[in-house]
Amino acid sequence: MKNQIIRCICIGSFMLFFYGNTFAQITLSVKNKAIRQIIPEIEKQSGYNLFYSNALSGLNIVKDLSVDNKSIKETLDLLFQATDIAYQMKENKQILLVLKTQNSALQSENAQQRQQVSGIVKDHSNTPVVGASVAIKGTTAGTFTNPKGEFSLNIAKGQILQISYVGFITQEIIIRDNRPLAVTLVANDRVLDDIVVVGYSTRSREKLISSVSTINNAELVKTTTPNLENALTGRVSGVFSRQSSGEPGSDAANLQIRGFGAALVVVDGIPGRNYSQLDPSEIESISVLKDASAAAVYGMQGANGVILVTTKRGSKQKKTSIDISTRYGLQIPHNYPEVTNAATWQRLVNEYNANMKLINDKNAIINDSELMIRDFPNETNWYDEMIQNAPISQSNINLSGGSDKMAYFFSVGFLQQEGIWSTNSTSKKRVNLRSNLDIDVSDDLSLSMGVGAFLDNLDYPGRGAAEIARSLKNTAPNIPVRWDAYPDYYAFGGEGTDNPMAMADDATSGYNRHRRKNLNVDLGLKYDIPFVDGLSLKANIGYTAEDAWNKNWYMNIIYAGYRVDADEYYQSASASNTNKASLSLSDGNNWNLTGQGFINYLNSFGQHNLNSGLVFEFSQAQNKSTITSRGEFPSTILDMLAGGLNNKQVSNSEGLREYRSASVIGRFSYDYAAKYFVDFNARYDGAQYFADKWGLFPSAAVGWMLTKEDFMTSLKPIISELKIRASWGQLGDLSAAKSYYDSYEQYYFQSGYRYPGEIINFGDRAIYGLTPTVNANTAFTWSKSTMVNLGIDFKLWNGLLGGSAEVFRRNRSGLPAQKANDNAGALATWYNLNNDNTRGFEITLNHHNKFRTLDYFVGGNISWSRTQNGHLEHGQFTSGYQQWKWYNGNQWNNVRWGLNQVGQYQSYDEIANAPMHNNSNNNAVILPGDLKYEDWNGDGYIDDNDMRPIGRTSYPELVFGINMGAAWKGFDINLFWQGGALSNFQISAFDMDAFEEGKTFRNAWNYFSDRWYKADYTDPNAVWIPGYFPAIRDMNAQTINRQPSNYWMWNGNYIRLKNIELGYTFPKSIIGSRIKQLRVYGNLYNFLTFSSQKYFDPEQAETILSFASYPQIKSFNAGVNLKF
Amino acid sequence: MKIKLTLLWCIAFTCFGCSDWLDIDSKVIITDEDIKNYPELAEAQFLSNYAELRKTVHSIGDGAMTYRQHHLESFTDDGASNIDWEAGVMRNNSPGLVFGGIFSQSSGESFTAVWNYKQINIVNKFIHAYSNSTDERILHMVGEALFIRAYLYFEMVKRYGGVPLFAGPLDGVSAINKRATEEESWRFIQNSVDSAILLLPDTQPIIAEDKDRANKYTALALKSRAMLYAGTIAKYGSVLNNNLQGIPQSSAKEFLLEAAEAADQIINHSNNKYKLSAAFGDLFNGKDEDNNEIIFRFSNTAKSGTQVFIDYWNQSYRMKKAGYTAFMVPALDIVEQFETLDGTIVPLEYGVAKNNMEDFFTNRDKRLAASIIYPGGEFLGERFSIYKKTVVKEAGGATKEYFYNNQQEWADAGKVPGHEQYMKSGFDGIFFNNSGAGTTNFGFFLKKTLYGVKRQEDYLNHENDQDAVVLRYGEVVLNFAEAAIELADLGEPQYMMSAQVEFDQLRATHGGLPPKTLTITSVRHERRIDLLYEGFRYWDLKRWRIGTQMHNSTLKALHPVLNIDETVSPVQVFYTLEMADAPALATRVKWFEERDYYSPIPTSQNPGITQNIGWE
Repeated sequence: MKNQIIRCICIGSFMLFFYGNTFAQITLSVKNKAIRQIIPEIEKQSGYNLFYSNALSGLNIVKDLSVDNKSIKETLDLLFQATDIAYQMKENKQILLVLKTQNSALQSENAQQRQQVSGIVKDHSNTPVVGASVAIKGTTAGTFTNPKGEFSLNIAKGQILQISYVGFITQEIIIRDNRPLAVTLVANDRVLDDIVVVGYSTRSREKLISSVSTINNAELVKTTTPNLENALTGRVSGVFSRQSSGEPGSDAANLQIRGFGAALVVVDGIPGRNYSQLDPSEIESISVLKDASAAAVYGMQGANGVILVTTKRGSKQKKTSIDISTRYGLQIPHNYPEVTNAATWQRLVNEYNANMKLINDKNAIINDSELMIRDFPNETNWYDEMIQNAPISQSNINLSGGSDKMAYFFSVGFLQQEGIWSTNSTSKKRVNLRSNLDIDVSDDLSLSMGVGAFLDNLDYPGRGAAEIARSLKNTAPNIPVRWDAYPDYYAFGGEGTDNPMAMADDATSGYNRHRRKNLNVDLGLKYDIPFVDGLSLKANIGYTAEDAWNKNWYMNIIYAGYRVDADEYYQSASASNTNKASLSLSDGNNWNLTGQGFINYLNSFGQHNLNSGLVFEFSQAQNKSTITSRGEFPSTILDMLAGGLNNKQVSNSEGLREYRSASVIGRFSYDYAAKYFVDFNARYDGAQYFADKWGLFPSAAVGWMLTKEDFMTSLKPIISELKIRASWGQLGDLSAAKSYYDSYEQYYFQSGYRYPGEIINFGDRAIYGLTPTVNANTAFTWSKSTMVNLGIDFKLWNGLLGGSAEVFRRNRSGLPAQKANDNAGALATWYNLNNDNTRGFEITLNHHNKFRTLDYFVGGNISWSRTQNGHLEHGQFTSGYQQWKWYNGNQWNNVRWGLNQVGQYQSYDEIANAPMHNNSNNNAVILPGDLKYEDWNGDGYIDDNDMRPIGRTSYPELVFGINMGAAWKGFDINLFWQGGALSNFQISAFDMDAFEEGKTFRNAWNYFSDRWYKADYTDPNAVWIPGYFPAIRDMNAQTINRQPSNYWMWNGNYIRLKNIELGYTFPKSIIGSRIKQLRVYGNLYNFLTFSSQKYFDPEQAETILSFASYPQIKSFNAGVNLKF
Repeated sequence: MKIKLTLLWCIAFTCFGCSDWLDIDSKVIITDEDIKNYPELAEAQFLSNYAELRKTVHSIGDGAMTYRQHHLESFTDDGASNIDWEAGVMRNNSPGLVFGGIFSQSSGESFTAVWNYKQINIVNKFIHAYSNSTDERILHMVGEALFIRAYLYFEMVKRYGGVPLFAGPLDGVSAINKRATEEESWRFIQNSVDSAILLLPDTQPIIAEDKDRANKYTALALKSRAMLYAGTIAKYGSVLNNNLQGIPQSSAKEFLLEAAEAADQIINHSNNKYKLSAAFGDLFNGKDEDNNEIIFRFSNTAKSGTQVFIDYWNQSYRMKKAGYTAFMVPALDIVEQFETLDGTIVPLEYGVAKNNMEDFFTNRDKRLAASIIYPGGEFLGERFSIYKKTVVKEAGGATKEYFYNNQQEWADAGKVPGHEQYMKSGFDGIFFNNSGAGTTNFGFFLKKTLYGVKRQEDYLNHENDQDAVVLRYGEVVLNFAEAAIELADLGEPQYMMSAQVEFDQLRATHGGLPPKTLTITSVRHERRIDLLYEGFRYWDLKRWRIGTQMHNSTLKALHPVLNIDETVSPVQVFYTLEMADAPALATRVKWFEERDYYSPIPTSQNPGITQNIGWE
């Protein structure tokens, strides 16, 4: 094999001069050193890797070399002057050193039998390409283009000419005659020559015919959130996600591929691992497999798409490089809605009381005594008290490299994130470690080993963020943090409102600690079978273990309250109270062992390229958990179980789930001349969830690279590359059966009794009953997911514009349901009955160009996906309307129903003529400003029967991302926009009311300042002044304004500048030769948002009760990257 | 070659050897095989039928007893929802919907619906498998199973009228959509319970469980109830919907005779196994759970975590010190139905001054204090302070009124100026307060069925464990009395003499009241008082066909007033009473339309089944 490489051709040095400034510049001055020692210096500066056999005697020649701002070719020519060494430039900045004699001998070999073919090589701007390699495919013969871009070469008819040059796509031309050739090389996009990781294999992007998106390390490290899931958002097409919270440790994205549901995650080939807590610096790439032909190799688990994460590895024969990066940022709450100040609050409270009275008596006169008029000796701005800017920092050091026989990558990362509560009780710390080794045991046998680990510590106060945030909203501005007269305790904010400071302070509310240890160990062995070309065997073992420990010390807060009328302070709990705290401990222990055996065959026969394999896989996993707790701690001195009173609130439980699966995977991939492609995959899966354990799931894909056809040659300057592809596949989906097992430790196919059932008492004797399970259905099997995907990949104008577009559809059938007429539930058996379908499209466009020294790019993607229910097993409906409304079959699954709000009542006259409201108490409670609904069915009543589809759910149907950047003389800038559309945002129950649950001692969101009110609320005849919201009162009791309607359903469209980063890379002249790269940068995260959602963050999760939660954060960051 | 062999072996192992390896047993699912090996599991399997019965039966202390945390009496003239927004929701759900059938298409059937063919199938399988046994112990269990089946059907038939009837095991998948007539359905219950009576022992072998498992008298008590229902439905109702609803009047006498005979068996032929309890209230509050008045109960023990959750929701803030106020409260209307000790039904003394609030209620039926917390009343050592306002007649002649407008003023504990020892309104109400802690809007709180053994330190932790009383001797006496007078009305007076004796004894023992002539009116009144808040009123309104009289009515509230007269010396403090309409928001209108005599059948699971009239 090595001989074959060395037999390549190199040419003389006549063109040296012309290489000029196309290459990295080298400045070097050495004296009296062996060439062998000089080479590493050149590698370091140029970024080229030189490969050579140690047997080259010329390497030991001692030389002086002095170059100043010279290209690599100039440098090498000087270096090898008067030696027997020649060099060949290869792709990917690789240079091969060979003996000069070998070169010229080969060159002359076959010259006579061939015809002379000449040609010229140019780039898209019609500039001659100098030094391009022109080789005859399948042989070692070839040449380089001269300074005019010309070449000439002896070649036989029918042979293929391969023209390649760094930064351009290699072209192949079949020689038919000896006419001169004009070759236009297409610039190589930064991503396009990537090797893409696909299921159980890799593929060059050119040969990819299934739907796969990738994101590489360079993009990943720009992620400033500590959760990697958020790195995928908007960067690749087909990935839908929302990040609903910025709380340390709770910032996971709700991520779905094409809107399909939770995707399978595969890290370094092992399914089911955690990737969200990996350090971005240790990841080489993430591939997202979207269509059936890509995901089908993951069979039963891959039905919702697959996220493949590949960690970094070292390269052999490469000097150690050390990469240090560190970043520091400040987090600031984003879009946190304001609460009213004391004056507005008091006004709203008075209006509330006045309006409540007005409802009962339209002529009511309000006395002063009925109003809450209070002094505000000290107004508290709870927001200022509670929120601080919180630091976040992330650092990583890694080193990689390799010798002849070994490559290594080591990485250590550290993350620290503080929470925004001013009590400093929330924080996250994480340490990531990774060590990946690849060792050649012999010529044919190689060993790989990987160890990855992370430790993460999460600390929270004794109350959850949602509770604290609700209290932060609710606690009235006339309550101080502490009463001056009672400084030892926090002030009480009222029943159910408490005091956010006390709740967030771990000294008063206790703590909630999470400690997690995660370990991944991989061992792989690869054997290239020496006597069969292209055949190799591989075995992998992957072990994953995670231990998650949680301790929740919940202290009952002691407050100082104050009674206004009595002018007295009181303590909310006395010192003798025996219930001071409770404690809960939980420990979860999961492990997974996966073994894989591969038989791979990769070979080419002329134009026929084959890449196929057979994989055997088994996986075994266990999830164990224990929870213990005790309550009623008479003292908080001891925060351990022993401190709780024995017979009070003791609870404990144990959980155990076991999982096993086994599979055989066959994959076959063939292409003819990288022009016609065919893929077949099949997976034979065994799962524990069904009586009939085995299922076979096939998939196939075809592709056609049109631009390789002769008839497209003339269009090359415009359409440089065009590939169309189609895929079909069927996957087994066991998610429903699995979640049934996860929830109940039970299978659909299994009959029996659940033990323990409920407790039954007979006198003082208590026993556990037996609960009969549903009747078994041994025929219950996989739901089937059939996916079709059509795609087109293109590059226009020699790569100036590239992109792809695809459409897809997924039909799922056999989703579990119970039959509606199943003996009235007497048998309650589960069947494969329901179905649905999801359809959508994705478009990606990229533009990349250079203007002199300005290098810039713009890229964008847009994805749409929507799911429609098909058959849904259902009962009988009483009317056509009921059926339409409640039978969701054959309807989009994200439709929301409600009344159509058509305006607001302007006067009592209008109210008197309004249709009767059946859902609220009656029309007597309507005030001017209240919502007017359409009597849609025209029956004179406003009720549930007037509801119709009025909007969508909050998960966007359409998502998009725009990535743009430029680099100029060491400066680089990158902007990343992300957005969503076609969604609606339902306001939660408590946020429709000025005063949550009608309690006026609570504060209100400031948006209620914009409301209907009477200029003088004490005067029954005063005029109403219109506003946006209805008049303030207890809508809990008077539900007229709270009916589900489009009034409370706000448009969810948004676009936000997720990330903007400005960096500067110092030139060599400043940093010297010891440092490879030094880059500093500043970065703003989430800093600019355009949203039709006025009051809350557009990615905020919808909740039933209140939007008050730990806010989404924006942050600004600065960092340094240093490479040695 | 060696490699090839290994490969083959690999493939063989992976494809065929793994199927066993993939069998992972669930630890919590046990099979019939397991049950054979563990005798205690066989017992548990049978006794689980009682747990399922408990869930199905409309009885105090069970989830099926409640609707949005209310006692179901909130839907009758005996009680009211104390919470405006709950009442608003409830107003839109007529009782027919709430007590059965579909009330929300989105969430499926109402949870007070009963359509438990799954359990009926399990019981039928047991009966089918063991009814030919010769082992007496097993035959006792078959008797218990027949009792349970009768009870399950009773719960359905009283809701829906005629229902599909199954006496054997179901197999295969087919819709249960063929309803029998209402009469056939009651006859089916009669046959089941008669078969049970033949097999059941007089007393369960383990005496401590005798009230928790069915014996012969348990089945007789159920029979007296069921046959009384059937008899009065026949007498007062009309036949509709091809006999699916209603029973021909000609059958009334037959059913009533069965009812009277079953009751007579318990009263006069059980060797005094059961008798009336003088400490009436303690039957329900956990103090006297083994009393001989109780025939059948569902036991609860706090130790094993089985509790009466309704307890929390209907306690006052005074007891809970947290959370919402009581969900259901008694209204003035039912309080005034309690006779005075001389046996008359008279209103409370309005316009009369008394020194203590409780003085207005001391001269009444003993069952009032056992069932209801009234102003000045006592519960677990707490005395309840319930008054609407304070009226101060100032020395100068002016009169000033003080009261709370809202919860905040109550939380701030505002005092009457110049009389700091008095709150403006009572601590336990009454002031306008629609959701939060504190108050009764009607002047009363529930007492019967609430845990009365000891004060709970923390109501949320449900330390209460009073049993749920399902069948008791008092009800059997009332069934007997009612059957006797209805039979007399049909020309069969043979039970009247015995019934009058038992009726008077019940009035004396439970209420401390003088004898009263047994009439249809007096027995219905006695039922209302004695069985108050035990889940009977709604069914009584139905079977007597008087529910519609309640439609569109509202209940009355009592407003006690604290008076302070400064014009005399020393200053006089006294209480007076005012009658008031239900609180202003017009949400407590009672609902009972003609169609509510039958609940809607849960049709969604039974395509093609005939729906009851008015619910189609």
